[in-house]
Amino acid sequence: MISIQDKHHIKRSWKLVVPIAETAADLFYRRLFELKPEYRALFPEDMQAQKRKLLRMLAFVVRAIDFPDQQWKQDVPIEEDLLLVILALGRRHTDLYKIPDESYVTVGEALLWTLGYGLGEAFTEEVREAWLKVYTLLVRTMKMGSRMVDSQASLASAEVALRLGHEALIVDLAELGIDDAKLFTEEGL
Amino acid sequence: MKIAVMEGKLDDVDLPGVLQVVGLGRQFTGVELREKDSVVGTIFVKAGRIVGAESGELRGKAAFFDLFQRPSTFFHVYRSAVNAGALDSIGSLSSLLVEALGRARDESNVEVVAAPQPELTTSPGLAPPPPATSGGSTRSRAGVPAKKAASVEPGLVSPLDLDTGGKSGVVLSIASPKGGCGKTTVALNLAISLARQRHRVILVDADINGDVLSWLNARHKPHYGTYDVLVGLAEVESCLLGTILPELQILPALGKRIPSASEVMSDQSDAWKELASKLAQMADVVLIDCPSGMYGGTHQVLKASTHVLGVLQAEAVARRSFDMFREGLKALPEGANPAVAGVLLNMLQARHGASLAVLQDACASLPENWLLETSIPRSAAFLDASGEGLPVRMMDDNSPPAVSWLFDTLAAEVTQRVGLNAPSRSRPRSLLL
Repeated sequence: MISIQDKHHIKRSWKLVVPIAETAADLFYRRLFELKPEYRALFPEDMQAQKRKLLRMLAFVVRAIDFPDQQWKQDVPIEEDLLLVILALGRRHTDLYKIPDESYVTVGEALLWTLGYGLGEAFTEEVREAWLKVYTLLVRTMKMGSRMVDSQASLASAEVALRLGHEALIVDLAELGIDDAKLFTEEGL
Repeated sequence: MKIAVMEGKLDDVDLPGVLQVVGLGRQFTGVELREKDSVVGTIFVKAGRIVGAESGELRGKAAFFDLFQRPSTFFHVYRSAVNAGALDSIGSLSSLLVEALGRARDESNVEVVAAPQPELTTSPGLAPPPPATSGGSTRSRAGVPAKKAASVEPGLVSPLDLDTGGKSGVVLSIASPKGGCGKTTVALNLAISLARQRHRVILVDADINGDVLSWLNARHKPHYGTYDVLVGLAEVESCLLGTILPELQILPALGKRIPSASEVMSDQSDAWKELASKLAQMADVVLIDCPSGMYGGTHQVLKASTHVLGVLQAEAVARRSFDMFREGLKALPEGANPAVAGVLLNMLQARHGASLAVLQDACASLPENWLLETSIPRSAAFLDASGEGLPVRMMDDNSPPAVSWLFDTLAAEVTQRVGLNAPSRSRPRSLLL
């Protein structure tokens, strides 16, 4: 679980990242490919869209974990539900992008390094701990999302995806109500 | 209609792990535990709260805790549309998980092993994989491995460690027999100095007047407060007010509801103990601003405190009244006495003989080591600050009133006395090159 203090640290530090968001995305991928040069081949040559996706996803996470407590009874659209979005992201990473599980560690290190570099003194131990907690919980969720595919547990099966290609997965996601177009809107920033 | 979300084996992800993940969601979600073909029970979650549980004949919290004891092998998570307005929270997921894991740990007779190495480090390169657990599965109850009850899953943060850092904080009450001694002023400004010294602080207003927020001119702000938590009308997490200092949160006395006289007069000692214990797991220091007097509400709060700080106003009537501080402590049941962290001389007027006489008398008559080195002078800065609705330290970031620095000194003295970790002393250096 993420404590109230953690949410506070995440929100405050993210506000500091927003003005330097593009630089942060550059730094993140530069660091990631320094740590694991072989990951470069997993991404398109032009990284602009990828960087925007990263920033929007982070913005979405920051927004989603910090809803006002008194709104707990309110329903949110499923494309704004952190659990469902991250489960689907996990499935995409495994099935669509073929991202290996062990990459989560490297990605986490690159993320923390980027935040540390970008935030300087504002990246206190408490801020680092808060981001680490959030990231580890998201990774656990993504791994569970990817296992859903492996075990053919609930949503679309890996078999369907393999038979029909990536489009099938996109359709499955749409059936679940998770739409890339909605997820990656400018609202994220 | 139930819409399946995910399922899996509790050997892969244990029940606390599943619940933490499900807690990220905002939908009404059921976590069904299964053993072979039968459903053992279900836990219902919405937006980080447990809104129900079923285990055999049991319902609610009893069922929730029971499901941690029942053997089950699979989990199945589904979401469904419900009338959210009719839902009742039986507790926050984080606090109930902490309690469930605490119970599991208490009941486990095996030694709790050290937490496995985390997956992430700050060093470059891949962190080593978590060490393999020997002896295969040690699962004894619904996904809570007996040997790892305190550390849920390798590499992930244990709920037990989330808020506590593995230790409970100090519960320091601020009390005085006489009203108007400046308890609230001391509590608020001390809380700020402690937070600025990087201690996680929760300032609790235990005075039904709710004057912590009067100071801050923010009485309109909270929906719920301490007195709602004490009678079970609100979860403490939903009452805490954040501040611009990340380390400081405030639990106001009142929300929108004014408690009845009988409620205020009733003995809420057990509720205070529960509240103090919970807050102590969320902070390094829980500072409680007590009502005036050493009996009644203060008596109940003191029974739940680890330490007490007495506030002695530097004037004759307050000095005469202060003997009741000691009497009030003596009146506490054996084993429930908080340690005296010190007595603070407040509103000292060094140019007035009558005020200085209180200082001299306190030096001579208070038990050894009770009187703190730091004292707070009467200062117009407090009037100005309260007029602005600000703590004195925040009147002017560039040039705060001199008296505000005294609270930094007070904070350092208090932390030393209550045993909080302070930065280690640096090596003395000569000034001249």
